[in-house]
Amino acid sequence: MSEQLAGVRGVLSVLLVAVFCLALGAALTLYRQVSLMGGQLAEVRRLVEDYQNNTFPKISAFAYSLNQYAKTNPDFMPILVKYKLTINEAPATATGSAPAGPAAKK
Amino acid sequence: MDNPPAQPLDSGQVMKNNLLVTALLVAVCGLAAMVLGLALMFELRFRQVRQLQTVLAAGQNNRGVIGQVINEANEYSKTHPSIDPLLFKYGAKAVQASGAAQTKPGGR
Repeated sequence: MSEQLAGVRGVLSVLLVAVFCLALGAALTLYRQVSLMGGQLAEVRRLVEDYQNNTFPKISAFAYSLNQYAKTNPDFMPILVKYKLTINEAPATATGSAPAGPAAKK
Repeated sequence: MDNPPAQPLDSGQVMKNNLLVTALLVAVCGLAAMVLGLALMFELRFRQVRQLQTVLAAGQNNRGVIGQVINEANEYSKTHPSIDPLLFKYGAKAVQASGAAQTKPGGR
């Protein structure tokens, strides 16, 4: 009986070693994936910040200027309507809370 | 018939105080907790990336629309030069859009 018990203990040890190796492999793989995802997240954040801080304000200002031009030159208005670019509000300047994008209909 | 009565086997000494098994159990539990934590981190970051990519896609769409508007404005300026100052101001006049997504206002 004690030999059987020793055998069971041996099997248990081997199983635990196997599970440990599996868990270690999974942990290493997941760690690598988490690192890659972190890099991707940083890159996407940078692009979004660049768009929100640089590109979008310029687009809003341009669209607003075109709308102001269309008020004195109504034959330009169909172009703005075609691209749903009609804006009545001036874009926000300093606060950073940008109005709705060029697709805003008014 | 003359067999001695069965004696209970004291397995405690064999199983409970086994250092190797205990150490392996602790290691496996620790690794399991680490795997769980890493999985949660991965899921959180993945959701954030997906959310931000939605914003980026909207931005790309806006750029495309503005590019097309610039093209039409350039065509319009051939018959209505009064729009030229506005296009020059935002750097839209000199840009001959070969692709709508590559043009955007704001001088360089």
